[in-house]
Amino acid sequence: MPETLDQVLELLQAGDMTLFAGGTDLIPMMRRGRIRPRNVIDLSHVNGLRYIRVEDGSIIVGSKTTIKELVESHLLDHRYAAIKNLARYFGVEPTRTMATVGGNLASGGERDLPQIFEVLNARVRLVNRSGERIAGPLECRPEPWELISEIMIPELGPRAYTWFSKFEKRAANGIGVVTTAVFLQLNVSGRVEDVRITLNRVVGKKPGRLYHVEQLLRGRMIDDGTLREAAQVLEDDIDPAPDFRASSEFRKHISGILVGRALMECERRVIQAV
Amino acid sequence: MLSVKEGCSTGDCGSCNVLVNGELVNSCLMLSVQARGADILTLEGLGTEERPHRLQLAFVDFAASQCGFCIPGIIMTAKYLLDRHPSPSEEDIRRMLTANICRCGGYTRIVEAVKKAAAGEDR
Repeated sequence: MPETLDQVLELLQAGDMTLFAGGTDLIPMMRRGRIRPRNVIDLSHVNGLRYIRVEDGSIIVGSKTTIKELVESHLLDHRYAAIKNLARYFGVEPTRTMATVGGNLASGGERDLPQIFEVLNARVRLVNRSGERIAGPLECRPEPWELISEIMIPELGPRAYTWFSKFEKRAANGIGVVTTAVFLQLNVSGRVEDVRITLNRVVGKKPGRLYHVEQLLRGRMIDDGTLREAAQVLEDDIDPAPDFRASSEFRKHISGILVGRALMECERRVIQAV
Repeated sequence: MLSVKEGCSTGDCGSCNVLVNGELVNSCLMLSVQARGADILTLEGLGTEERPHRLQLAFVDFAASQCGFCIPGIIMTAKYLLDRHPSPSEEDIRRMLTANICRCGGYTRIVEAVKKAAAGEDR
């Protein structure tokens, strides 16, 4: 079993390797027959990738950090509610104890962390034996010879707040029907200085940013009129894939409501704090 | 070892829940090599027939077990909760127990039993 990053990168050279981090996605995918790994590299002893630290004002999260460690970190204050809310929305206690930040980013599909890290303007570092590259959280699927080493979250800036929420069919441990993450920054007069919004399904099953909604919001006050307009732009803009959990129409409707509430929550918290 | 049950095999049901180095995990999602050198607590290590753990006594008092398949996992989840929050609210208990599924559906008595164990003395 490898214990260092170098040993893992060396093993990856052989090709046809699957990385085992927390196992909360990998094992169910194997049991359901969706993937049949030929070789598995167990990362459970690579503890050098398990850290959260502050560097030049940025928060750096090692990819082996568990969701629970991330949520409970004192380096993330209340403004990182988008991350804190994972305590409620990300699986159950054993899932949060086992699942890792890197694993959630790498496994693809409708995952919570890519959406949250995107609105936080975070960058993902992927390393291989001869170098590294930096990618956005929504486009960081590692190549077979790569491994996600860490995530860099820049300081939010003044008068900013973040939020993440999920509409589920059950009170807990369900797959989210609609999930949204929001970063909102107001200027001194209470208008939107900067905003980033993601949804789990923008077109088809692809998560992404809501650039048109963000554009509409810049310079505006967060009031009923603005939120109504934003919901309209959002519904015209997205085309979420339906499935047995919810139709496309229902997803659109819920997406508008969830994003509106997230914006209101961020605005309220920013105003409360000043 | 008979208490640890493989229910869903995908980390949803919690019937395989055990404590690994004090952390609550779905043991069905672990490779056995990962357990090397770890301190693992299953129901077998919690109490004996002569000296049951207060959670086990409370589950008997409330007849909180129906078919019993899910109960070892539920007791380990409850043990983990009480280790961290000796006086949990009902909301805390219910939220933590979302980690387990009981298909008999006897949740009310299970929650009552955990409440009683939390209030009682350790034996």
